[in-house]
Amino acid sequence: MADVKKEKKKKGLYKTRELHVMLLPAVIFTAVFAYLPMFGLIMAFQDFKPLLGFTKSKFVGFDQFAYIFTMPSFRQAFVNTFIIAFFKIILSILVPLILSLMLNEVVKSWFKRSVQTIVFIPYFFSWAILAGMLLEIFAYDGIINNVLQSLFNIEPIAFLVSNKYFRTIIIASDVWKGMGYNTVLLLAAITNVDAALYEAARVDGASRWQQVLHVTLPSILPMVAVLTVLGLGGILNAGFEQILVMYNPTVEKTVDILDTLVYRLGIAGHQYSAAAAMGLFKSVVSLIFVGLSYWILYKKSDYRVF
Amino acid sequence: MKKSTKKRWLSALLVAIMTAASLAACGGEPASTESSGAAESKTEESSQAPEESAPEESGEEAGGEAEAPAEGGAGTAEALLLEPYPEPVDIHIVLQYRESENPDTPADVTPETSTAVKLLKEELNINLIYDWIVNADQYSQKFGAELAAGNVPDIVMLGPNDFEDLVSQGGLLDLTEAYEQYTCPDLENIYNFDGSFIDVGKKDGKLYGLPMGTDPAQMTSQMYYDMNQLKEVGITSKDQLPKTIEEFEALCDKLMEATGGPVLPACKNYIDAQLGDFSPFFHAYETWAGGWYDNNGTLEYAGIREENKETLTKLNEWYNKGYFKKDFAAYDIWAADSQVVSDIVAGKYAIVPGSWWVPNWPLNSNKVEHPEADWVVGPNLSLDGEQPDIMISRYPVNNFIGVGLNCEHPEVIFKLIYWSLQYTLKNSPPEVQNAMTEEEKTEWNSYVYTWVPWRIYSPTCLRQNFEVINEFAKQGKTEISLEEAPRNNEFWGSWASYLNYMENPDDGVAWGTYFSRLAEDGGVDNMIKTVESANIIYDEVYVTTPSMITKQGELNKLRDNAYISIIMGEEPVSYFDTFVEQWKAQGGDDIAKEVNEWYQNK
Repeated sequence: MADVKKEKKKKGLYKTRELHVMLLPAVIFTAVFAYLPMFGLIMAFQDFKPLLGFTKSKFVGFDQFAYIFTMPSFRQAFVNTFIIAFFKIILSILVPLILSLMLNEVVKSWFKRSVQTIVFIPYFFSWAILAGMLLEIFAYDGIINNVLQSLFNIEPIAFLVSNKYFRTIIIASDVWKGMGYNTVLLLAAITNVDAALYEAARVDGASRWQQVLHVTLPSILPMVAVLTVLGLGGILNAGFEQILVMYNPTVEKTVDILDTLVYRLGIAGHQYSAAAAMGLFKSVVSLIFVGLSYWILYKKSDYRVF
Repeated sequence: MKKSTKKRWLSALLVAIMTAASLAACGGEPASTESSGAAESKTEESSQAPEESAPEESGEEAGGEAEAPAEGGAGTAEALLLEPYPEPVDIHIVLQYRESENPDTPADVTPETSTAVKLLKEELNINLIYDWIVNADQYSQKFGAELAAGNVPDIVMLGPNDFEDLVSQGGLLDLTEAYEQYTCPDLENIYNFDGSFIDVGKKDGKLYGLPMGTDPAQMTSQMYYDMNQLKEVGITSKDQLPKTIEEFEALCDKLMEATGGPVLPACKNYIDAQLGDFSPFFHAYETWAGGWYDNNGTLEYAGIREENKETLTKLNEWYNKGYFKKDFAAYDIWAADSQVVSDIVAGKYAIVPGSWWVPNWPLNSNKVEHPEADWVVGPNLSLDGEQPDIMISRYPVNNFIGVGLNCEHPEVIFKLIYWSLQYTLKNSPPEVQNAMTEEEKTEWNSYVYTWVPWRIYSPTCLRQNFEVINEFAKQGKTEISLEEAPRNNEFWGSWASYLNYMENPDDGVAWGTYFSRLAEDGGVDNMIKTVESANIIYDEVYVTTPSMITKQGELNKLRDNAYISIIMGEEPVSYFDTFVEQWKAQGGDDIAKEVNEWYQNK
């Protein structure tokens, strides 16, 4: 009996061998770049010295964690990461949502298409380029200050060193850069809404606004939910590249995030173990959030990502 | 139009940087070795009693050396140093450079292809291999990433922290034996100029690195004024320049009225830039942002002294008045295309605080664009008009040069340094320079041969050349023989700049080198006068303790953020007390304990 089952299984595997072969590169890739490096996590529990290697470096247990948890810049970076990531996740759904609903109402298709393209463009630029532009625009003698001064007679504001404004600039610019992508996704979802629903609504005497509220929105809600929940997994990814190229020591208080701290501590400061401990901690927290979002999604909309 | 002007000054700037970088070797390029946090150690590491350094003596010592060392007979260190290897030896090195290419440098002249590297192969049978070359602000990250992979170059230049760290994990070869066999007076001048400097590179009696230092006096800052611009506010002669903070403030107020400000360059490297930073103002109040001084036998950290509040309060006042750019803390003066530097070059400031080399760059570029500029050095500021106490380090270590554990030839470092020195001395005299073909000259002036991870800079050379050349000038000499010349790498450059200035006194670039190094009341002269007249407080710590490796960086950041927040008015000055508490709690106390332990058992 068991033999038959085994046989069947074998046969199944053999039957789908081409598919498995096609899968192989992905499996190898993941193994090499995601699983293999995990052995390196051992350095989070050592006083790792690269020239002594994993075998000879001193094992220190949880000392590195104790060290990073007492480090004030760690606490600060942790809080900043949460704040920045939270707003980025929320706004990068909300803004495209509004934008796509508005675009959907546009009748002239050339206008709709060009707006779509224009908002999509920043998505393709690297942060290195955009940061240069943004820093120039927000400089003390930059365009923004010029406009504020000439139009509203506001004293120039030192945005780039201001702990009051810089975080907002980071969040807003990230939302601006990424909004095109989600807009296109949501527009696609909107196009998929059954036209019959609109017809029915119109027959019932719904205005355009009511159609949006009662037909479009509920129809694309699952898509919005998926985007939001998937974003939760990245709650501790507040955008390393962007912040690395845009920040300066004065605004570290408000925009220093875990990733930039790990970079400074580990790569620039050569404290590999402490940085590894921080990275591990971040991964654990992220894992919890991914699990949580998966659970929510499963409970609420019966949607399984895995 | 606009573009071409920009290009023009850019080229001028680059020439200038190159000159500064090459002539000033370690002294003149403050930020070139470490960026960010590590740069701290530079300011705080400086010195050695000026009266202890003896330029004359070292000059004689060097002068007495065989002129053609190869003929010094077999067995002498000099002969050994120039002996080629029987088999080719591969030496792997890595390099950091600053945005400094001479615009006239031909594209095919790179460190790898330079004549010096070719000659090294021919003369010593050494293959110099550049594993990687990055801009200076990327170096520490790149090095960290390479080190994590276990890659240590054969010859490596290290800041004090990295040196300590590498030695502790066995990354550097023991150089003790090679040192005994290969050292010679010319080399001693570089890494052991006072006879005990070399000890800084020793751990438990074994030598792991050759310390590269600077003259302690080089850490002093001066006030440069453009007399031409000051005419507009009624200052017509040098003795009207401010001596006290009060007078200085009055002058700045006048300038504010005349120009609308800002009137002082400032940058995020507010304390250690050596150009456009606040250190002269800290000094005026006899306060210091860092350094460990001896207070009745106990070492105390100067950065947390109550007195600093006064300085910070004043700076905050000035910030509010608009003396500095409102967002100065966003600008790194050492960044490529630095806004602060271009403002200085454009002549936006009539006052520029900075180190002795500032005339050599960027003030020379300013003078090229504005020949009417008339820069002078003003009195050091203080509260009462007297020279304030200054702090300099006991030992001026900037870097160590070590030999990586995978290298099989610990002696190679001595050979390389010696060869570089000979190469420079041989090619620098005016006759040799004049005999060079156009191509050779271009390559020489691109200074690519200095793009190596070791230095041939003798800490005493600035004073030595200042004195020797001014002596020659007094005698009216325009030509000197090889025998008369001191054997330091900078001499011929300084001599040439003297001759050049005599010939073209109106040329901004010629003025820059001359005024910084040789002019009476110029950069070096004032620097010497300052250390000779001031009461000196020593920063005693020239070692790196374990807590420093892990905590100093964060502590410096804490301090910088606190200071800048107070200056910019984001925090009240009472925040200083909070900072001091945090500083102590976050490891400052640990470091204090360690350095005091070390100090007592020294």
